Formats: sequence, structure tokens, C-alpha cells
Amino acid sequence: MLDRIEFLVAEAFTSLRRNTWMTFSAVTTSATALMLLGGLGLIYMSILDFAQSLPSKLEMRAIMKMDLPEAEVLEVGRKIKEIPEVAGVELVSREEAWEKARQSFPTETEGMENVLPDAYKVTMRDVGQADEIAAEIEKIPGQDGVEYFREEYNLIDQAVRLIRLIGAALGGMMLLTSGVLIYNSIRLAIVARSKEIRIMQLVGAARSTIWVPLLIEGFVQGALGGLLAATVLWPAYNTVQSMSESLAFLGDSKSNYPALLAYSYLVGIGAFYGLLCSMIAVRERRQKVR
Amino acid sequence: MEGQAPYILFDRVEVKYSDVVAGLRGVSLEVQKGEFIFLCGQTGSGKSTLLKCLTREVRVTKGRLVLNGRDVRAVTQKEVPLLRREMGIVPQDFALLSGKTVWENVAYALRAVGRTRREIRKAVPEILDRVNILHRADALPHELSGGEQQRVAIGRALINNPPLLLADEPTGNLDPTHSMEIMQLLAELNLRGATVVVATHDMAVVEQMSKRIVQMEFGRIAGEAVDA
Repeated sequence: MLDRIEFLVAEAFTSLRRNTWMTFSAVTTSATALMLLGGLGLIYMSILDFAQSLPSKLEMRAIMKMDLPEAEVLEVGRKIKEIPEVAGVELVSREEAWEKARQSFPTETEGMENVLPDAYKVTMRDVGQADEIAAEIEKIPGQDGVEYFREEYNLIDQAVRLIRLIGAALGGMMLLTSGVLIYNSIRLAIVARSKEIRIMQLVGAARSTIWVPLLIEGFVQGALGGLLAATVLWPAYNTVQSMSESLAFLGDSKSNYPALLAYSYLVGIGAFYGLLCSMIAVRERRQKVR
Repeated sequence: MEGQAPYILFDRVEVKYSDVVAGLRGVSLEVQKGEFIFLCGQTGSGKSTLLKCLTREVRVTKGRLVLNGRDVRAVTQKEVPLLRREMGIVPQDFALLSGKTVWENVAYALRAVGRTRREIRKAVPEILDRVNILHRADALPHELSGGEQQRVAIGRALINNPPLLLADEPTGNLDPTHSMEIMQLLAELNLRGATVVVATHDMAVVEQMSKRIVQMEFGRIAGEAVDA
């Protein structure tokens, strides 16, 4: 059994060595495709992480009507708390708010009477529910509107969609190209190994002995592409992270390169894809060569 | 041997490559176990097609083909390798791997059929000795004469110790001296019990061998003779 496995693997690596340049093109193209997909995937994940961390950053303010009696203000607060998507509610009294405003804008507020109403700081469990929470709060009697960063949220949502679209289009195109290259390299390997294949057929070698080395070849090409992609992405990711440190917007979302995840996903996807492409090439050839 | 079921039986075998191109047109032929026969005829007469029917490189369109009691038409694609292990196939072009020595060429074929390293170490010298090429075991194919290369190809055909040897124009690339050497070798293997079927148009060699000759023309058997 070990002899047989060694034979199959040796045949595959002999062929990989024989078609060095074709192997190189197939590996680098699949690496580029996987890098693009993996890189965009990481950006996508970072934005999602950031979006998920937003509820603590993105607070909604539910403004009370001016001069609303304290009992009614507390009643509104209780009703906001009952909304399932709301994580927390904190009352900011008009006196507290005015004190802060006076500290921030001493000249502008000098000699003025308090013009601010009572308000609630509302934090959300899911920033995606911001519109729904605002609509629920606006139904409560006694409130006078909700303020939140609707535009910022929409911007993030659009960025996620755009990255998803670019990832699917570019990554898909590159993946297709790398698939064609792996397919072609396997077809070339079949031509280059035609004598070996013929000899094996003459002596009655099992079909698996003839074709499995070619499948191993495709598998290895795809896996090497994934390995290369994950390796190149590492410093690229760290560079982007260090650049983003200067941006307050992403300042809190800095995270380390998820090496294990990236290697296992990219190598796994690459290997599977390489195997799939070589299976298609071998299947086509098998129908012609008996 | 008479009265026994033939080892190979072609019964009105037809092979059609397309609606207008036929490889064989109703060939009926019996070959007994241990026989040595020549299939002779011009290029395109159907000699190679007849051999390819036995190796299942070509499918029989009509008729019956039996090998050692087994209906070759009923052999599934999966079973073809097993069928081929019951025969040794010698091609005209030797089909040797140029970067491998004589020893490695035979060993490669043995590995391909799943033999272990230990079995290979034992089998290769025996096989090379049988075809009188053991003394060139370390030579590369380009260092061998055409006759020696064909000996290696015949040796490789013997790796499964097959009871049947099929040779398609085995002397096609050889000069008369080497051609006779190869035919003598096939005759020796026949004497040791192998059934041998040789397709050739080299009548000069055939006439010196005194074996059964099946003459083919246009996909049919045109005549038979035993050259005495």
C-alpha cells in the first residue's frame, strides 16, 4: 500500500517538475485569485467586526418634549427599555446636558437660560436595527424625536455591499482564470505523460494508478496557490492595519492577522478547487483515452 | 489440440469506426492455446484492429469474440486493466521511457501494476534474463540498438507472466538481422507455452519462421497458410 501511494505521489511530483513554468503560472494565478478573495474577505470581516462593535459607539438620543413632567419622562424611559433590540437606556437630564454644553461652549451659552430638553442615551444590540428602534421610540408619547448617525450606518452598509460585489466579481474572474490554467496544466501534463500513460495502459495498470497522479497534481497546485496567498496576505494585512491606526474611524478595530483561519481556508479552498479542475481535465481525457 | 475450445475465437466479428469506415468485416478466426500465428497484410488490412479488439482498445461492433472462454465484448471498462494483465502487448515503437534505464523501464511497469519493491527487485533480473538483455540493464534506451530496445519492450510485456503475447509490427523499425532476433525470441517464448499473435507486413521474416499465417485484406481474412 505504501509502495503504491509513494508511486502515485512520485508520479505527480515528477510531472509538476516537468511542467515547471505551467505549474508556476497555475500556482501564481490561483494565489492571486485567492489573495483577492482572501484579502477582500478580511476587509469584509474587519468592517463587519467594526459594525458589530458600533452599538457601543453609536448611541441614539431620544429627545423628550420640553417641560415634560418627570413622571412622564421616566415612563418614556421604561417603554424604551422594553424594546427588545435596546441594550441600555440612560437618562441625561436637561440640567446635566446644559452643564456640559456650558463647559464646551462657554462664550456661546453665557447669560442664556437652559434651552435643552431631557433626553435618553439609547444603546443598541444590533446596529442594523437602528431604523426599527428609532421608529419604535417615535411611537412613544412624550418624546420629541430621535437622533442617531443614520448616514454613518448607511455608509458602512454600502461599504460592506461594495466589497462583497467587488470580491465576487474580481475574485470570481481570477478564480475562473486560475481554474482554466490548472485545467490547462493538467491537460499539458497528460500530453507530457502520454508515454507513461500508454505504458500503464499496455501493462494493465488500474485506472486509478493512471489518473490519480494528475488529480494529486491539481490538488497540489491549488494548495500551493492557497499557501502563497495566505503568506502574502499576512504582511499586507499588517501594513493595512498599521496604516489604519492613524484613522480614528478604525482605531479601535485593530486586530491581528488570523493566520490559522487564513491558512486553513485559503489552502483548503485552493486544494479543493485544484482537485476539481484537474478532475474535469482528467474526466474529459478519460473519455478519449481508454 | 483439436476438439478443444479455441483459446481465441473471432466469430463474424465486425468493427465499424463510422458509418462508412470499417476496421473488420466479418472476421472468423480460431487460435488454439500455445499457437504462434502471423497476421499479414497491407497497411489498413485490419491486422492492428484485430489485435486491438483483443486488448479492448477497439470495441467490437458485431459478432462474438472469446478469449480463454471469456466474452471480450462483455468486459466492462473497469475490467479492461485486468483483461490486459492476461496478455503481453508489444508495440512497434517500443514505448520506452527515454530518461530511464532498461532496469527502470521494466521496474516502472511493475510499479504501475502495483508490485512491491521487493517483488520488483526479484522480478526485473528474471525478466531481463528471459529476453537476453540483462547485460544491458544499466543502459539508457538511446544507448541500445533497435533490436535491444524491442527486447526490453518484450520483457516489459512479460511482467504479468501472460499466457498470450500480442505484437503489433514488432519488427517495423528493425533491420532484417534484428528482426529475425526478435522473431526468434517470440518463438522461444511460444515454446515455453505462450500463445503468440504477431501482426506484420514483413513477409521476409514471416517466410523464415514456418508458422501459421493468416492473410488479411480490407478487413477480411483473405486466406490462411502454414509456411513449412
